[in-house]
Amino acid sequence: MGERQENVITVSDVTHVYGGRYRALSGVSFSASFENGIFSILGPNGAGKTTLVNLMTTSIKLQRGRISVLGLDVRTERRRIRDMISLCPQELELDVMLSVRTNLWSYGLIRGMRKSLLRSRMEELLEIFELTEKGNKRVMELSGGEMRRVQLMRALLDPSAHLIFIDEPTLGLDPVGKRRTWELIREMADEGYLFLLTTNDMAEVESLSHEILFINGGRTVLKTTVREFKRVYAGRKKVRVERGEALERWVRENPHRARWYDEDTVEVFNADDLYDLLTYLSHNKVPVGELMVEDESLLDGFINLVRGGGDGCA
Amino acid sequence: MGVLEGFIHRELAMKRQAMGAFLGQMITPSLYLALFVTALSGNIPYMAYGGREVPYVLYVLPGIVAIQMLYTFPYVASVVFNDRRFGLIRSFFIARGKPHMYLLGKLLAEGFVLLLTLLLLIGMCALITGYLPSAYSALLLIAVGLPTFVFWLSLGTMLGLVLRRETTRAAVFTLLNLPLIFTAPVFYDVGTTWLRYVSSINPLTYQVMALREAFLTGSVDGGLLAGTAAMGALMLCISYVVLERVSPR
Repeated sequence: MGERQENVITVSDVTHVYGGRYRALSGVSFSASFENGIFSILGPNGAGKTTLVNLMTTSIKLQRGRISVLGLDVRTERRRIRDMISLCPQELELDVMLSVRTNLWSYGLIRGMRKSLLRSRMEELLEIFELTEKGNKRVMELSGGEMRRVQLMRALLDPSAHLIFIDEPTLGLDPVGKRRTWELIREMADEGYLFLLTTNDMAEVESLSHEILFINGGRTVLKTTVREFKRVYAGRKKVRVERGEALERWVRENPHRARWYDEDTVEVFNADDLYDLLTYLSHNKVPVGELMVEDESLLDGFINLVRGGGDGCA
Repeated sequence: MGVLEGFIHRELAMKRQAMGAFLGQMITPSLYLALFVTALSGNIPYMAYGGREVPYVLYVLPGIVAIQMLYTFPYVASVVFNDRRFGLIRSFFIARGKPHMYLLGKLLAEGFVLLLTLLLLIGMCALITGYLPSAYSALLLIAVGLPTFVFWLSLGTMLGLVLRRETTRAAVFTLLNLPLIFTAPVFYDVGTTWLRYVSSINPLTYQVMALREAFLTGSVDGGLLAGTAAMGALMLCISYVVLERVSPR
């Protein structure tokens, strides 16, 4: 695999309207450099994630704005883009009447893979995804999780696809399958493959991604790193102290850093704020009754952001 | 070749998976000939055709060949309908698949099955009547049969892409199948009944006439040949355009 590019994906002011009425995306802009090889798009259901992926993968026509994928314009160079990407959609896109091997084999040929490479790659993936024994079974005879694994295998089949889009990578997989898929994605990312994931699974984002894009209501809400996202939106800590004039003044003067959680508990938004508050309390000799440092998860951050709870703390 | 091979491999694999339906597709016309037509031959031993009398089995054989081609349309429509519904068309075209390859894959795979069926039919006919078409007649049969087959396969592709609901698809096929067969001169001459008006707007009529001429006389009227070819080419173009329109752009 080659060197990482500066901006693998650039999206500028993209708007998409379905049927002339439903506005799925409104002026979305961002760029993704895939620093650790994995970039995640987060957002609640109906946020516009799938539309965005469909536009980037040339599945639907770009109406307004500009998108460049691997340095290529989706309007003018869709053929070249398609040669270099692979897509694993959320919905099952398999010939359920055909066997796992036939699905992979015919898809590999349609992708233009050489037969020798296709054969070895197919068997390798069957082994990785623990489906070698079931390779000759019809897809319809597999469990939901196994079908999902076949879909993933298909997306990872062609090594010439440098950029792999996966919509909800581990949807329907059991914990072991999830963990194995994450490992595989990480291994492939280390080898130089690039992954764009759209997901609502926060554990997945936390485990895999470095950069994330958060969209909601068809708009870009923010692009940041997982660490920064957690720091800002999921870094709240609670401090129980005796309520007094000094403390009330600090909270009043720092509305973006703290708020009253209940009668005698102050909630601060991140570790820096916590440090400043404790220093302040120490200088003013205010006794700290109980110090509860309660970290929020990425999921809390996600919910805070969706509900607007993160307002003012960015 | 790889991409096309992928499509053909898939089509043939579908046939293998549904072996019962595949064998049925091949054997049904032979059963028509062996049972239905042979039984009718007892009552109607000969049919007047082109100023002479020909055995009923020979008269009907081109009609059976034509309905065999017609039967590709509900099958292909069903496959294409599911390919679209389950996003397979999108995934093939996002990979290196192209609309013309998708169509060609179907034409070659279905054509292969049809060829086997035709050889079986002609062999049975030779056994029953002792008649084998000349090499020239066989060439003419191919010249007429190919656009006929392309017409029905393309119609199936087009309908599979256009129809959005499974119930509509089933209703269309049920409503079309029998009227198409029984208003065309497949088993009988409709020339003297009111059916001739309906027959004149039925594409199968002209296809059966052309096939029958090729099979029984070794010559085909130029207008009929051109018309059959034009219908096949037109339907192929329409289905290609529709396929392009539903492809990811």
